[in-house]
Amino acid sequence: MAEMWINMGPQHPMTHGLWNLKVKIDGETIVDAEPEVGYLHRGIEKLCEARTYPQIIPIADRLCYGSSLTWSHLYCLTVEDLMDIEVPERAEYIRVMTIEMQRIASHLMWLAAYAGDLGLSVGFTYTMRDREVFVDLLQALTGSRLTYNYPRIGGVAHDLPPDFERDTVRAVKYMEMRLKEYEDLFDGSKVFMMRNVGIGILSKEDGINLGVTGPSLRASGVDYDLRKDMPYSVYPEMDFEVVTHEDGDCYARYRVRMDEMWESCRIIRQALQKMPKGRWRIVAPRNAPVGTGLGRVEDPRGEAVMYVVGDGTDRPYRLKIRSPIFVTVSAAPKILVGYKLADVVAIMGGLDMCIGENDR
Amino acid sequence: MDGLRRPRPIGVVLKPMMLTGKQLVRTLILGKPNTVLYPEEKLALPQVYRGKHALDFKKCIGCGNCVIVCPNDCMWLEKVEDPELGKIERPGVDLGRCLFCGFCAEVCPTVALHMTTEFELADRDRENLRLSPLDIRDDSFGATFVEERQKRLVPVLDLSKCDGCEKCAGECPEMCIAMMPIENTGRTKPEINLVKCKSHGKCAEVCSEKALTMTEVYESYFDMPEPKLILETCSGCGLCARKCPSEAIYMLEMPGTEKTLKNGTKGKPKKRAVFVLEKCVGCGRCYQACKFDAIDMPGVRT
Repeated sequence: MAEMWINMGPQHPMTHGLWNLKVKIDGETIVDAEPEVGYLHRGIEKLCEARTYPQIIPIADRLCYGSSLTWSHLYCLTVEDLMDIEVPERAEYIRVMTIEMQRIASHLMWLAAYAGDLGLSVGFTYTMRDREVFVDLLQALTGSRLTYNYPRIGGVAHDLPPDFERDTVRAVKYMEMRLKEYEDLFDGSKVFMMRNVGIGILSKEDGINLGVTGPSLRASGVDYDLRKDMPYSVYPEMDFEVVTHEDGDCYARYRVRMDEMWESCRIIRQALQKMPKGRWRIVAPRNAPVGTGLGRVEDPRGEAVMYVVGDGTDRPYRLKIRSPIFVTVSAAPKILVGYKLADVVAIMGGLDMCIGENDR
Repeated sequence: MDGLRRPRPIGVVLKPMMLTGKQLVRTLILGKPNTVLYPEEKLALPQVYRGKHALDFKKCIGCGNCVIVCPNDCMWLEKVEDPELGKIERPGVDLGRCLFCGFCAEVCPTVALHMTTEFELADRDRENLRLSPLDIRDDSFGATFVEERQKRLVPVLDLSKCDGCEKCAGECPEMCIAMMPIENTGRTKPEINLVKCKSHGKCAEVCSEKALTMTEVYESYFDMPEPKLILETCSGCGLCARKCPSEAIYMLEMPGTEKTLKNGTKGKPKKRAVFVLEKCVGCGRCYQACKFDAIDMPGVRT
């Protein structure tokens, strides 16, 4: 039978954003694939060159709608590295707590989208409902539901509101209860298991060679997590484990994310216990010195890097953003080849695509 | 963690049944809905929620720091006539461009601008989203708002009353006041180190001319630029002093610069601007007003 190219996207329920996946099929089997991105290019890196340092924080929020707090946190880390600022300890604990909440919310949103992709409506509604718990908590803390604009250069914007600690402990307890339920729900579903186990295998070598990071790499059995390997903020004081899985298939990626949520719950609890009292923000200088700053964090999707060049004025000379998903999606052909066309949805959904940070 | 996880039978059969039963009891028997009946009933939003702006006209000094800090340039200063306050300048906001980051409320030196919890802002006409200062005026909202920024009592100098007696510098227990001479005027003024100041208030007590008064000031997290005078080009016109929203600029006479008139008498001496930096909010309006390039303020947009 003749081979043919099929365009999946830019408007396709599988894509979760605007991008195009061209797959070459022979009958039902995929023989080649080619991801095309660039439909959502907003020129954020260039936009940042015309703004002052604090004004970029709300833009960094808009890099990824799923985990906006991680990106603004990363931006603040980078500029603090450039300006050589020491952040108060309380602010560091608040930051770690909030980005772990954001990680849970992001993974839950991924799970909702994934369940929706695979036709499990119950999974979609349950996970979106429970994501609301953490979004409400973050709203009470930061004042917004999706684009928080909460970290600042030299600390965080507000202190914790009253009753926040009580609510957080309750939310974590609720979440741990729900996670058990999800495991029953998803692992007990025959359809879910049939579409996941043994599908989309990414080998350890391919994962490392193609630069894949985050849960997708850890699912291939590589123990690589920046929170442990290159600790930033107060992560060295937290007691948690890096979750890995040996199989490298879609089920392993699902498993890694589920277990990461358990670890995030642990980190939130510890951060609340260890949080000292004191100031949460210091005044940051207006102008950055001449030099460069680099920040690396473990995003829910992988390793995110920002690199900023200061030229002595109040605006950056250049801001470079390394998006984890941009690299992961380039590994898509390697993962897809050899599987059926119907598996594309499961494989690409399992990578947790986010086009906002991908195209920047 | 490796291998497949075996689901427990209790989770597959009993738990869903229990959940369904619980929801049934809650909705049908107790009559409580699981959702909020939105238009009739609204969600309780936290106080920090960033919605529509509210401006306290009496607290606002019209400095325009909110306009400077706005990332999207969606605010502007507008001339307003108020029966009580006279001719003033107050900021307006274009909600169609606003990204609700809240920087304008955060930078406000007098805490006059707030973000309310009002979120139903959709409109059929784009022009209606351009809110003038009168549209966002709400003088009473600030009273209901618990401001997180800390207030502190600091001495604020009224230079027109100060006679340079140095009593305040001798009285300060923290030694944070130093008398500095003002160039070419033959006068001295107290320079207060606000970082060291512990709000004892002794300097204000001893001041015989009531030039130092203890005033409540909100701490600022933004590092704003400071104006610097270039004395050679200053013509003493006083444009900057009239534009200054926080009245931090005083025009002082420079003795010895009087010109001798034709009839032999001496004219008025030249004046120069003197900045009281404790009062300065860093808005840069003096820099924009000066026609003689006598004020240097690095980093201000022109």
